[in-house]
Amino acid sequence: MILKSVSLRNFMCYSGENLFEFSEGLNVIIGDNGYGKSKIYDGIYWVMYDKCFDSNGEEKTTQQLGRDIVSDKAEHDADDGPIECSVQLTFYDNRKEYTYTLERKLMGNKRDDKIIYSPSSNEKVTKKTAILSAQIVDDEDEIARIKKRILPNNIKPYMWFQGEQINNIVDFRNSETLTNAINVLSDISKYDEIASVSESLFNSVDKELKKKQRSLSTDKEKSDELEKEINRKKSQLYDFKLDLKKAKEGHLDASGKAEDLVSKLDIAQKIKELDEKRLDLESKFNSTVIKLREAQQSLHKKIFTRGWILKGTEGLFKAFEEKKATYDDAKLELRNKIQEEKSFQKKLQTRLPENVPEPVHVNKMLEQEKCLVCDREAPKGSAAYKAIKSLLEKSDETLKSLEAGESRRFNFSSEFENLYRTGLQQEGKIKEIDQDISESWKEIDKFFSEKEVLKKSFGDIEAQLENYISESSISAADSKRITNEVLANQKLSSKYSADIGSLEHQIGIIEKDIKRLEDKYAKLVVEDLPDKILKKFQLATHLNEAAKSTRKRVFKELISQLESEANKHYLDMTKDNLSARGIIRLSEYHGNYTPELVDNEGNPLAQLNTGNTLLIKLATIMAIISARKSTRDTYLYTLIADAPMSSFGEDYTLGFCKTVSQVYTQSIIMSKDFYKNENLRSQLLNDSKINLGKVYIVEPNLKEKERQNRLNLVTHIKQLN
Amino acid sequence: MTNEELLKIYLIDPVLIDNDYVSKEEVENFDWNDKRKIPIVESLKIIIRETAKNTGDRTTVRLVNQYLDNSL
Repeated sequence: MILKSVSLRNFMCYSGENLFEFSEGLNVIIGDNGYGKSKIYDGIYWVMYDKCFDSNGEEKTTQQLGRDIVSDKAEHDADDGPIECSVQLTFYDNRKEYTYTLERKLMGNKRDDKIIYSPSSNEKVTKKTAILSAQIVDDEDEIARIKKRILPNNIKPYMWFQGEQINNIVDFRNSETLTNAINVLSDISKYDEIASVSESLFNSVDKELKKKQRSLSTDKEKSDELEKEINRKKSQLYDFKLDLKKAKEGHLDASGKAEDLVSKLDIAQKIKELDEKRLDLESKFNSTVIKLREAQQSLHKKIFTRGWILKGTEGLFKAFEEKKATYDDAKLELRNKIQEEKSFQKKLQTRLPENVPEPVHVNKMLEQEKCLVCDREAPKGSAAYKAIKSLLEKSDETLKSLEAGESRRFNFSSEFENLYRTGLQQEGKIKEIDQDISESWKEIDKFFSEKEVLKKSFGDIEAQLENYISESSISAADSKRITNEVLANQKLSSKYSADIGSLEHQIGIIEKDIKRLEDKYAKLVVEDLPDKILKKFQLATHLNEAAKSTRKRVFKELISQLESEANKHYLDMTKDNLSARGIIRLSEYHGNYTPELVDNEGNPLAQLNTGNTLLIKLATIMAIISARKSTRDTYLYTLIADAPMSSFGEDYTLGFCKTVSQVYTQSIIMSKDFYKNENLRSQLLNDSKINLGKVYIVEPNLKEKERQNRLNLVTHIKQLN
Repeated sequence: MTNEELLKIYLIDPVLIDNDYVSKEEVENFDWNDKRKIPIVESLKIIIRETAKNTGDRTTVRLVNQYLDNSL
């Protein structure tokens, strides 16, 4: 059955009339988040099941959703009167050449800006054959049959799903889910039905035989007693087998959970280690930043504290030294002169110099007004008198002048001394300034380098952490809980394991008891049993055994075929991704199968990322579909998947598309991967290995910020091929 | 898969071959309308045919029982 078209009228973000036509092969609807891709999935789902998904992804009925189904723009633009919101699906059955049209409609009525909707939607189904024109199908049973032909309920989870639902299709912890998928999607159920009828036939013939044996018994009372005992034992056996089944399931579940958590625990411990490293690095980084800042600040202070300001003043000290020496010399010279002058004056008291008479004689000459040196008159007021008088004044002036000079110079002496001594002390330091500056810069450089190294290591650790956390969704805080759960499940698993051993032992004993009782029962029959009934019993026994062993054989062959197909698909899907690895193996556990990824030597690969896990699931489901495709009576259904690639990277996208287009007769997938990556989109449109149907791009007329106001929201549909 | 193809899958089962109901060689060319009317094969045919028609277990068992009672 092929979905030929989907027509949306005023449905959610699709105001007005909107049409998507599809063909066989891979049909893709491209659009960014919030552009309306999922609404197409919702529309298809609504027509089929009268239900839709709310913003939290929960299934809601039309009544619960009400006006949320209807386009806001359609409501806003509508005049008073009826408003219609509808979705129409057209399916084509190419084997019978039937065309089915399924339409769902929600009607409302607008009056004075108030809209009242019908509490329920209307469904209309028409059927058109190659010869007859379209006929409305009224019969509800017939509608149900048509829908079943489009998609049986038990197949729905495997064919129609939204991104996150894919996880539940095959639960790796529950090996029954794969067995269920095989049962649903393959034709193994035929063998189950035949095995069931064969067992019923055997029970019926066994009953008939027992009845005959009892009628021919020599001790009917004993026979009755034995029969009751046999039945009691059989009932006990049935109960034990049920308990054994439960114990096996419990063991599988507990050991699966433990295994699952053990792998998580490894990741959790890794996350914890990394987190501790991160914290350590963070602390070291902060401390280094503080040290660096301090070193930078102290660099400024050192200009004063370490005398760096004196750098370049070495020459000044020399000049100052010279100046001080000059000063000292001058001072000494002056002092000498004063000393000389004083000595001179002293000497004047005892002897007459060559040209200067002693003051006492000078005074006498002034009194006598006569120069005793040349013996000439020197009356008072005459030039000779003045000349004699100047001899007295000259000697005092010279001394006074000399003493004044010394007194002036002496004022700077201690300062000069201090400065000189300080200079002497600094001189040594100045020589060390360059080295000090160089060491200080070295220290800053060291802290800076340390900071950069720590920053890089911190970034690396954070990236690793983010990677682990995003892949595993485990925080460091979860690790303790995980450890406890691992221990609890391991304990539980051991308990179930012991129970299994004990139950199997008891079942063996009961089976022996039944055999012994049946032998006793048979011995009570002395007459020969009719040949016919013995033949019938033998035939029913063989038929029952053959039905069971054939089912087992076929299932085993199917598993082997699935494994090979799953690996083929897995390889195709991961072809463009170099990090993909491993081989899918379908492992048996107590009759159930679960997919796992192993290395070339068959060792299971642990710590698979989400993308890998999903691809294994998809590959396994595709294997079941493609294995079924090889059988002639396979009924093919359309794969409709909303964002199936959201959990794995772009590296897998084209591989996934190629594989899907080859496995499914028709598939419709909604994807954002091709929206921004134009190169990827171009490859999709031009890759000859992709059996491509129609490709559409959907875009709203409003930008994200403006889409808050949905009253003008229109979704544009553009066909790309 | 046709009923005959399904039947052949059962006929190659070791239980039927080891108990000499059919031989391996016979299975390859086995015809749904085989004239020999081997009881276990005929019983299987009834079960295959009736399950394909979605007949209930009880009715199918009754049909096989009737056949065996008449033919053995």
